[in-house]
Amino acid sequence: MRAADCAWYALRGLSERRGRAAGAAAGVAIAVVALSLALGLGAAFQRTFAEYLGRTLAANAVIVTNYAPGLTDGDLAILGSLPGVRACFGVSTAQALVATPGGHRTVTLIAVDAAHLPDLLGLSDLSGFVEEGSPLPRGLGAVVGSSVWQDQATGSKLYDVGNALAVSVDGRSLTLVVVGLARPFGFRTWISVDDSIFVDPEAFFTYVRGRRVYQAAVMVLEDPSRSREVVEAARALAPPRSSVFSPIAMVSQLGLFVSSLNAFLAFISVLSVGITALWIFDSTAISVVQRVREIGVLKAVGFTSRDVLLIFLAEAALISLIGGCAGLLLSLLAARLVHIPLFTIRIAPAITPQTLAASLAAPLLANVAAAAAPARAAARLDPVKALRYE
Amino acid sequence: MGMPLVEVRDVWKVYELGGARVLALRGVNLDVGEREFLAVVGPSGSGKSTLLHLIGGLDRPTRGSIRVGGVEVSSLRSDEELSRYRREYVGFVFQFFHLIPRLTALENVELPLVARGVDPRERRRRAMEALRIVGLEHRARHRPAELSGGEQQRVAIARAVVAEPRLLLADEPTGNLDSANARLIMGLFRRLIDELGVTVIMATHNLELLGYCDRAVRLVDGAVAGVYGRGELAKLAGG
Repeated sequence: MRAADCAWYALRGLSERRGRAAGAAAGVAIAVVALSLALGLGAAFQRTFAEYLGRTLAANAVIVTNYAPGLTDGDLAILGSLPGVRACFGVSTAQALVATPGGHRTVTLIAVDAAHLPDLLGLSDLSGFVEEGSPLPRGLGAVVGSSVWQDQATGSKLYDVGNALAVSVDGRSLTLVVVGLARPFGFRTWISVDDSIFVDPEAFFTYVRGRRVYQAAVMVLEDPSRSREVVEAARALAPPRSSVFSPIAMVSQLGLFVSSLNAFLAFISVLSVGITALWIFDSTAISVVQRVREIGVLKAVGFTSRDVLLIFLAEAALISLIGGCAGLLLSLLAARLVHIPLFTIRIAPAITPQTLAASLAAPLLANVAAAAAPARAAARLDPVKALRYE
Repeated sequence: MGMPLVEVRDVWKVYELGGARVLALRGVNLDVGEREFLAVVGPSGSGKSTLLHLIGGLDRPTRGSIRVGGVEVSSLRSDEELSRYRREYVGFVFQFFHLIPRLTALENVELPLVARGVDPRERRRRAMEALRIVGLEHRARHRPAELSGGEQQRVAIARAVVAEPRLLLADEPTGNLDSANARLIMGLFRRLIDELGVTVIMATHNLELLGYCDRAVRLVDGAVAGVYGRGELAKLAGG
């Protein structure tokens, strides 16, 4: 029997059990949508999240925080001398209030040495950091985050370069001068750049803190693969009440979480593929019982057992292909509509040709395998008994 | 009778039925010539259908030899060999027609050619020709449910001859038809023998049809109880 004739006969077979075939095809479509969205979401989640974390967390740094009493220059010197550490710098922070058209809002004053600002922000240079003005705070000159200088609702400017900026820290007032307007940036490590004001450390220690202490030390590593070793050494040497963490370890932890989530989604999809396969098994088994005499006739007119087997397998494959193609179209549509908001990003399923191929192949193979047992039973029927079957 | 097309030699068939051995055929010997119309008669359970199934390669004898057109059917073992034999040598006609309900008359007739892998256009042409021979080309697009019993059996006969087999095996072909249609089918068999040169072996209860046949074999309890030539058929029909 020719392959085209096998497909033709299988299609005619399906037309007789239209209801069950349509139900099974709908099941396959649902399984394909579930599988492709799971695979697509998993891939998008993995990729987007890794990119986001890589961008927001400094992969080549180990961070030591100590909010009280804080880290001293001596602590920085010790941490900076650890093997594998290229540089170590302190970051001082303070909560401050700034005047807005609606009243006051809380911002974070961040004091960091200008030479280390690119390391803190994860930038190779500061040329793209500001929209206007200078990226470097000097004296009482400050670089302000985008949500400080810009009204988030209207987009209009609240501050311009050269404007005075009155801040209040622990009840003490300080007037800064805006020297740079930072572009929208998002998060970097533990800092929300958009809600921050970057100031000169000398001015910060003189007018805000009164002494040189840092809330965080950023240890820039020579090789990110040594982060674990540096974390352990830093934990041993950092002053009491310090926390030491490595963003790269966080990335790998989150990667593990994403992988687990991906595996869960895949499990759900495999379950739906399995249910569809059971449906196909049931539908094919019923069809074989209903068509026993027909099988006897086919054998009497010269069809081989292999032909009979292929007809029933082709029916299962056709249901899978019809349902699968419908499922793929729905998946492509769903990929345009489904977005998962996460932090400041939106994750959409990444439906690649590989995802589509895998989503179509998995139910196809599962369904053909499920149909194999009843199809083999049909192929093995004794033609004489089949012709006499009532 | 010249060189026989079918040679049945000491054929036995034993079934296991509910743990008991049933002797369906007991040492049957039979020759059927080319273009012969042979009737196999006998009461129910005498082994008529079993004999046809063995000659048609649907079943295998427990003992003995069956040769059809030089092919040792009883020695065919594999499904592939038996299927090829059925495709190339035999056409079957059944009491209950056994047409596939969802296929049109034309598609039903095409089935043996589908099994042979014949090109669709050629297959359609030959199926239409077979329907023309049985006088049903105008019913080609109808499904079995839209045809009368006699028409369904004629479609089944067209299906049996479309691949030009040398042997037509008909198992009670008129058992489900009225006498007018039965006579029509008998006339059709005679035409097929004369025009296409096929050999027909027909199992039947209906002794009134023996007038159309060349010879009859009477089976009783799986054994040949008598062979009747043309001149003796009337006597057999009379009881």
